Amino acid sequence: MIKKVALASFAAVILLFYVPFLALGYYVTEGGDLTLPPPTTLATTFLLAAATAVVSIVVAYPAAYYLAKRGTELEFALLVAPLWIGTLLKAYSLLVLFSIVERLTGVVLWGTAWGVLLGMVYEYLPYALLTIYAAVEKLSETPVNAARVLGATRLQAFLRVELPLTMPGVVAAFVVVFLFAMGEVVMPAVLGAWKVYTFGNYVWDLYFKARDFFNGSIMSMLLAAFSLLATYVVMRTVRSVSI
Amino acid sequence: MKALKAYTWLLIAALYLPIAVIVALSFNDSKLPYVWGGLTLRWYEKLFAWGDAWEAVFNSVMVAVAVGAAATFLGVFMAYVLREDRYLAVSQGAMVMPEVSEALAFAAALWLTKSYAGVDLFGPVGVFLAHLAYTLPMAHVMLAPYMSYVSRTVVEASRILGASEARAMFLVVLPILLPAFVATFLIVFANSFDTYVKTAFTTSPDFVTAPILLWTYAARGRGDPTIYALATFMLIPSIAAAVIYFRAVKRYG
Repeated sequence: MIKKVALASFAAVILLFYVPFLALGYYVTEGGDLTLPPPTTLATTFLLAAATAVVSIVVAYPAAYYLAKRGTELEFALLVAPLWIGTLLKAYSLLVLFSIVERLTGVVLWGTAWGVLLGMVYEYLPYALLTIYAAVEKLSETPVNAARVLGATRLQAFLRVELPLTMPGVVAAFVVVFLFAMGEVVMPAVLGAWKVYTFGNYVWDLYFKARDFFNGSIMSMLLAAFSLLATYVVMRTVRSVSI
Repeated sequence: MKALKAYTWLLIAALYLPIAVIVALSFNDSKLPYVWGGLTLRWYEKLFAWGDAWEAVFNSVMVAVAVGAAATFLGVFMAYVLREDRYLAVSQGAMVMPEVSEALAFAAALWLTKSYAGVDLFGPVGVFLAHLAYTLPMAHVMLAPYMSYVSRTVVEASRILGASEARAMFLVVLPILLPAFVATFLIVFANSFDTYVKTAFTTSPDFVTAPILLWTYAARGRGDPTIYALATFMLIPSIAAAVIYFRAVKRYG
């Protein structure tokens, strides 16, 4: 009985992601026209997602390295806990913070790509941190000690031994953050004031403004297919991606 | 290492700064975010007198409790039965699905049931199903590592002694998994309580949840401190989930 319930819920989860294929059928039978998003939207989305992934990794790496080597439970908990705060709450608190910063220093962040980038890094940093942490934690001390005995300085030992060994973790972090960031809606909408327009916002507008399910479904299917492919690649290279 | 430690704490400070600002502003006796007018509780009084907010928070809590219970129970079943890596890989794949895609797939599914079967599920039911669909793989992935604490011999012993499958599940497996079960429930609860995108796609205009209310006002009146109080209020489930999660995980050592 338990097995049947489990299999049924598993099947339901998988089936759900095939619903957009119905839209594909609609087009194959010449039911409608496919409107693609403008190239600038795609470029914005891609650049923002890539920049988010790179910045998150650069910011998270030193902290993840420290956590894996010497970190306490409290530090780990404090760095991971923001995962459970909703995106909209984070976006809204950043919006308020931006307005204070703008008033005090004159730096305009609201409605700019920089503001959106900051928001997305804020949102996805814990994911990058956890993934890199998992990679650093698996490192054994032996190769570093060997390098040190053979005359490498601490920095050299890190750059030429430890960093290459944690590269799978860095790649995994890049893919995870990049994927999440590709489908981002809330941050560009709240912090970008709809001036920074991404793929996610395009799908959003198709649904809420044009009530166009079919185009939106095909777009989101492309995004989802891309995600699954990338996840598969990561799963092949690194074993565990999530917490 | 000292420099790295300082860096880590700096990062922690940066992560909590925006939230600290919101919490501080909810006690600020001034309508302008950049003017400090002293401590006050009047924004909370205004929030508690605001009927829509009560209703929205109540709706959110109801959905989150239902989703948390359903996802955690089904997640335990899934983690118990589907132990192989390939099942876990599918759940992990479902977890990193782009949010809009999932939400839109669900909206499309609801729309199809509405137009072909004549059943309108937009509203509480749609929101519940959409939240369940994305938290179920999450619960599966989170509970899977703890399955190694449930040894086959214990389950087999109870079965030989005459327990039915369901009895063995509820009286043997679940008690062993209880800390992980509670932790997963809370995380699913916090996630469902906070989710905006999936709710927006599947709700009806008369079913408003707390994030929807926040969105409605965050888009326009960003100066109203009552919203700061609402946002502070919405942090409670997340903080509770985080604290209890780390406690529960510690019990497995």
